[in-house]
Amino acid sequence: MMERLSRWWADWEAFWDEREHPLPVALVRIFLGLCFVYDFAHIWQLGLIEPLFVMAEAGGLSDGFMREDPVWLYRILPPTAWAGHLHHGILLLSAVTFTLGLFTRTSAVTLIAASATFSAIMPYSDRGIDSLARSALCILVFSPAGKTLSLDALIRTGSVFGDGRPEPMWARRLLIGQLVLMYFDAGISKTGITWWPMGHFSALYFALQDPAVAAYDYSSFIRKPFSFFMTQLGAAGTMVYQYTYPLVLLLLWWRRHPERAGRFGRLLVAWRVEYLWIGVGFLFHIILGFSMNLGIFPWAMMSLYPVWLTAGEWERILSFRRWSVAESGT
Amino acid sequence: MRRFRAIVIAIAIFANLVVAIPTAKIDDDELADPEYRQSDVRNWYRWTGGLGMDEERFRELALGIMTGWRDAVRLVRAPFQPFFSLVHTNQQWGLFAVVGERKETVVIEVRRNGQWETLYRRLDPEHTWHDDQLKYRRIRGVWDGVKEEPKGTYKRLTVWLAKEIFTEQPDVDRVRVVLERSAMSLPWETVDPTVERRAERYHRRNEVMDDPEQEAR
Repeated sequence: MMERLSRWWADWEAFWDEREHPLPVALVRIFLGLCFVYDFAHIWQLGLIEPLFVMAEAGGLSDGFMREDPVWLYRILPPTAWAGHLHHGILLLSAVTFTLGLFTRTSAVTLIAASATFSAIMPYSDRGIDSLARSALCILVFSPAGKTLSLDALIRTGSVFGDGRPEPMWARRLLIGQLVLMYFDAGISKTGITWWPMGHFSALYFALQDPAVAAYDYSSFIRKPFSFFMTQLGAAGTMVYQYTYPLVLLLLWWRRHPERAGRFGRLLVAWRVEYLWIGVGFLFHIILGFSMNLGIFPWAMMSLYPVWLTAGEWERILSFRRWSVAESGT
Repeated sequence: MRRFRAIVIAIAIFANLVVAIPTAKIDDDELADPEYRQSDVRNWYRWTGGLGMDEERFRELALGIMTGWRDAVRLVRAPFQPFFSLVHTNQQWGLFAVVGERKETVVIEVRRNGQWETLYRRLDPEHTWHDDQLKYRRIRGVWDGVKEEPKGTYKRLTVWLAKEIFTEQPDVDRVRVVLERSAMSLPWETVDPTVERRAERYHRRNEVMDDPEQEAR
């Protein structure tokens, strides 16, 4: 028993110590960073810095200063308009430097702290995607995401591509785990009856009529039988998709250990069936991005998708350059 | 380093899995309200045949199980909660977990030369004043899902909106912000045209422009 446990632990240590070129996590850093930059620049462009960042005492919406336990930032700063502008400025600046890979870890820590503070100041304006982005940042802050395609790499090695040395790949694996957990949990959390046959799979039909989240007014055709059927298909498909998402981990495990897969499993691995979930997810987010009013949600979700490919696979896609990437595990 | 990393990752995975255990959102203050989650409970009652219980008993049992489960999960999460609270994150992804059969939209009305007119109604192409701001997810989060008794953030949003309108449109002397709630129906059901207006906030130019904080209170 002890021998088996210690062998298992040794495998665990070895698994998390495997290395690859940091290209996939660097791509996540850039795409996620761009979502942050867009979101905070968009607040500025819409003229919403004052309502969202400034305390009620200075004309904003937040009660962060008047609470019994004020938000930490306003124990240091006075609740003035410039403090709100400073907070927004720090968020935007750290998002820019994070995207560029300049002082990557410091930028990531600043971004987490400033974003978490914003969440404390305006909890109603903090959505699920902001929480997911902070979770991803908590992983990226310790990862080698700034070791390539970054100004840090340029400063350190003289090339924005870095020195091409393999780095620990645990961050990419944890981000895969985060995606699987998010999709699966989103499925099992769907307790509303409208997601189930008893509710006629009508969740999407109703959601698309909700002015808060619909991008357009679909009332002219959504009650037609074909439209309703398509929304039912979408709702049922979403449930099947999210409930079965953990199978992706099994498929990746079988890819690593084909000897444990059995004939059917090896067939699924050979056909790369995991791309079904990844491709459907990609399509799902694109459709959501245009049909619903969800802000950066679909785009920030897709910004994590680079982790589905290994550094070697990315090298083949980005073949304009020789990346000196050794083939890595899943 | 290798061992340390493996240990930290094991703890991180465990903590995130514990935080991911789903619990239903139960508002203890609303448990006594017989209408609370009534539609869901009734549907589950119909589907399970009530497990041989009358509806009231079934409701008590269902809400009791949900509350007990939530408290148990809360206990297991306790050691990890400080970290998740610090970075304001969790692993609860209730994305559209409950999609109701009622919709709600924000409506802004203004009084100009003694006549009331609609300035904004979400998804109404005729009334699109500052639509980009009002539909932006972080602002939408303030007006969408407002409870029966609106809280301070919503009230302050309406004051801010009134200030914007009074500054832009000198001939407006009153602003009314209201949420219009209506029922949605399945294609084979009759559409109920009833529109319930709620969470109404009313602002006068002289009050808002002279003392913006007064209305916020």
